[in-house]
Amino acid sequence: MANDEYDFLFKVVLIGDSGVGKSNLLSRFTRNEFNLDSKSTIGVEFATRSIQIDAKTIKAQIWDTAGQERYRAITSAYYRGAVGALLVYDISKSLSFENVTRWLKELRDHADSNIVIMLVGNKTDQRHLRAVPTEDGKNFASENGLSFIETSALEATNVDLAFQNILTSIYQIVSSKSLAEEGADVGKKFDPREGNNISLSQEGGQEPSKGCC
Amino acid sequence: MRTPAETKLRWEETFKEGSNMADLRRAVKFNGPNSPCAAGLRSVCWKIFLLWRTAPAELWPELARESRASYSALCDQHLRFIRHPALLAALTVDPLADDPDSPWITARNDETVRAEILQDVCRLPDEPFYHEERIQAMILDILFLYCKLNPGVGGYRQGMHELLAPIVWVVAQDAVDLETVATDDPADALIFEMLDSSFIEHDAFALFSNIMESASTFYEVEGGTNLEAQQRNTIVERSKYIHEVALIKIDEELANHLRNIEVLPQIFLIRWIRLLFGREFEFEQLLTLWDTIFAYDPTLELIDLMCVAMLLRIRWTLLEADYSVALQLMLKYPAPPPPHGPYTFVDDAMYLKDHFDAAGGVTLIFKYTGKSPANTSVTSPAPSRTSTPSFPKFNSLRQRTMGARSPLSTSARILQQPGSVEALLQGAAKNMMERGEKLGINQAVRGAMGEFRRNVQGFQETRTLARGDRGLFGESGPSLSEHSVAITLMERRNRRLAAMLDESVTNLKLLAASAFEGERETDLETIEMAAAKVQFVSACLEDPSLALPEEELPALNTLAISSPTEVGSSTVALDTTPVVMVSSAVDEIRSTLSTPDSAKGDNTLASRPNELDIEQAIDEIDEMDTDDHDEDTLPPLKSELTNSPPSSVSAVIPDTPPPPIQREQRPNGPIPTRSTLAQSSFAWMLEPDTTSSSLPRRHSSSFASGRPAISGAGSGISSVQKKRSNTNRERNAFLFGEVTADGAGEGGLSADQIFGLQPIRKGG
Repeated sequence: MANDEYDFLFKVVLIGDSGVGKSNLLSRFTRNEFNLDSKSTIGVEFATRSIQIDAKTIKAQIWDTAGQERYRAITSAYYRGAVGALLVYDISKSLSFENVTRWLKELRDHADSNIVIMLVGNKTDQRHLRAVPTEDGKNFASENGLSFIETSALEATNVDLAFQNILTSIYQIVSSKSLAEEGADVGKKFDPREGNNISLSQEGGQEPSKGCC
Repeated sequence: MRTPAETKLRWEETFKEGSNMADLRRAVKFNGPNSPCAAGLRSVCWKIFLLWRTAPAELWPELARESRASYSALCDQHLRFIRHPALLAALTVDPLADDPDSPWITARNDETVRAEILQDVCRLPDEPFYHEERIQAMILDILFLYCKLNPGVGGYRQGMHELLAPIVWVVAQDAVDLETVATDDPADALIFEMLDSSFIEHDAFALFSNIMESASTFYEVEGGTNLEAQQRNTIVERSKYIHEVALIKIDEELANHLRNIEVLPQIFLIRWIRLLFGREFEFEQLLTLWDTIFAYDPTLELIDLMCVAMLLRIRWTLLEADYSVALQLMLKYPAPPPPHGPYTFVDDAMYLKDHFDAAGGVTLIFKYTGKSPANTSVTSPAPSRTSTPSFPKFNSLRQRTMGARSPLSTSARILQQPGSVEALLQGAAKNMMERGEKLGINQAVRGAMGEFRRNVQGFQETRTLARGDRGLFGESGPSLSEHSVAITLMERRNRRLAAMLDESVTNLKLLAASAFEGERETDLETIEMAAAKVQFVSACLEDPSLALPEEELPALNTLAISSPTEVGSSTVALDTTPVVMVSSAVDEIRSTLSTPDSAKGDNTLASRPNELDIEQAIDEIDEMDTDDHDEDTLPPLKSELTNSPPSSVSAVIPDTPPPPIQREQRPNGPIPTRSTLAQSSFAWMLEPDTTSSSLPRRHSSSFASGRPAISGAGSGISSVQKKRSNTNRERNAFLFGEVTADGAGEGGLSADQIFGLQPIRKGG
């Protein structure tokens, strides 16, 4: 099963205000589905999809959670081990963009300090209702060292690209680290059939390790 | 909306079996599709269970009026400006004043809260009803008012809307439009008044508020403003309790496995609990589940144990699952197949409450999966006698004879087709019940059974104790000759049990043949009698240490041999014995059907005493299935003997713990081969070793079949793990069929395939 043979497994979390379209980004990317009346997320959902980068199979395990701001019952479990985060806002709701700062703070507080973050302005299909100019998103991203993209889960615009970009960034960080340690027989540990797990953190375990005994 | 006549009919249906709580509860539990909630007025039942409780029926209209009036008053108070913005504008208060008490400020805050609620109300599940404008407005107002009145809860929380929506639906279903209903009968008028469609919102609010009295803790967030780095959540504490206290006590192996694969319980429990399982089951099933919860557990105290029960039902799949598969499974809980629909989780929880230990867990696992945890000694009749090392000879012998299958595969080979036997018996039982219904004797029988259940529960403790102390064959060291003696004893015991079952069946059949034309009371006694006997037999089958009447319990002699028409007090007789059976007889019989192949076998050595019972049970079932058996109730001794002469089973240890080495090792943690990563903060990413093993793949290819995956897990991920378990299942199903068909069972499969032997490579 393609799903079970991968070189890397990356956990990526979706965060952002309630109703910005996190669940639909997830379903668009993993199942190519969009549901206009999708239910609000209670607790956590997650799904996976594998993509190819550099002839390597990357299995993305994407987590989606309730956006309600006060709801933090699962914070630590949610961020634990995440190597990437899509911070989503709704381009037609300025409040969701204003709250990006708070989400960023939450990431800094709870996630690994090396987590790769991408700012995502969703719902570009709502052209006539746009409340956040693209420039504002771009500027905020560059000020805070995030990558940036605008998407429409409804129209399937840029959704794959967004995930591909963040997964590629993560992959590049990981593989550059493995290259740096090439001497230490890291290469041997790669077995295309077995999953490798990665870490971006500086202390210990940054080399891809074998997923099986 | 229903016609007045239909509504009246449903009202009568609701109270067919009485209008007090106890009657209704019983009817909800035992009447299936004829439950007062399904065939009658569900909203009225819910009101009784949650709001009116023990209040006599005469008071209901008054209680309803009161609660509606108070809701109307609340609406006037809190929704005035929202419903009539003009009133706000007419006020002489400066809209821009900073006064926190200004109605303008309140109005603006209220609008924020309402916008937040509305966002979720618009995203309710797909039922068209939820998307009617008038219904959404109701749900919005109810939630808003609830939040206004309960600031302690911390405002609106996502999930409350899905807790409320079914309630509104249920109340609206039963509502009648008073303007279209004209009646002269004052009694009818009262009925219609209570179902008045202009009070759907009021009544739904009352029900929702009542449920939230208990459910609000699911939503609580503690210490929100404190400087604590991590907010403490009651739901997280609760999840921890479920995992680290309840599950560990009830099914330690599963709890440990979940811990090892690092599945944090709150990840899935948040949704299960906050929505009262609203997203886990199909809507109709959910309503039936809620019926049962509200009837038996209106304060939602059993929720934790219901979660445990849900985990137990899928424990075998979970034990094979890695992190992703396990989460996927619990976030898309597989629909429990009938007849054990979701409402049975309430029964399970009640059972676990009284049996808060591993034995309770084993019983439930047995009951629903037909398998028993292989490494627990709880099921064995004499746990004190233990350990493989004391029987090295026997074990090596057994291994050779049986193709060295592992205990895991042994247990996996226990009857794999939950449908067959059970369906057969259940069908028969249902038939009987239906016939009884016509004659109006059903309630009485149920009453008697309820009584029996209660008694039985009381005795459960006694039996659990007895199990530990009483070895069936004493404590002397096991030698081969002793084992054959044991087998002989066991067979004798089985024959006697079979005789008892036979007798019951015969009597029931006679009764059926007589079409209940005899004395009603006598018939009733016969039925009770038969039920009692079946339960007794099942208890004996489950627990080999229970002595049969002639040996130790003279009180039961009457029960065993006398003609049912002469026995007036079967329940009394049972009361004096430590006989206990809570789960249905059928399940217990199933549980003993462990290895059909060896039962008919070619000198195979049985590995557990139960394997003898199997043969017995199969014979019994066969006989129940045919009409031509002898009316004589003597044990079918001869046929038994020809089927399996004692000499062919020369050595059996009644209670043999599984050999230790063959069990597939669960990874205790990924430490050995990847310690650096395991110790890092990314350790969670390490899925259990089994995932990436090439072994499962090979299996799945060699046993590939067109059958769809049984597991209900998600569409996105499919896993080799699951596939392998399916393969096992298929293999076992095949085996079973083969054996009963012609007793061969070798069909082209090699021994290790048949026995489900997994090469012992895990952890190697």
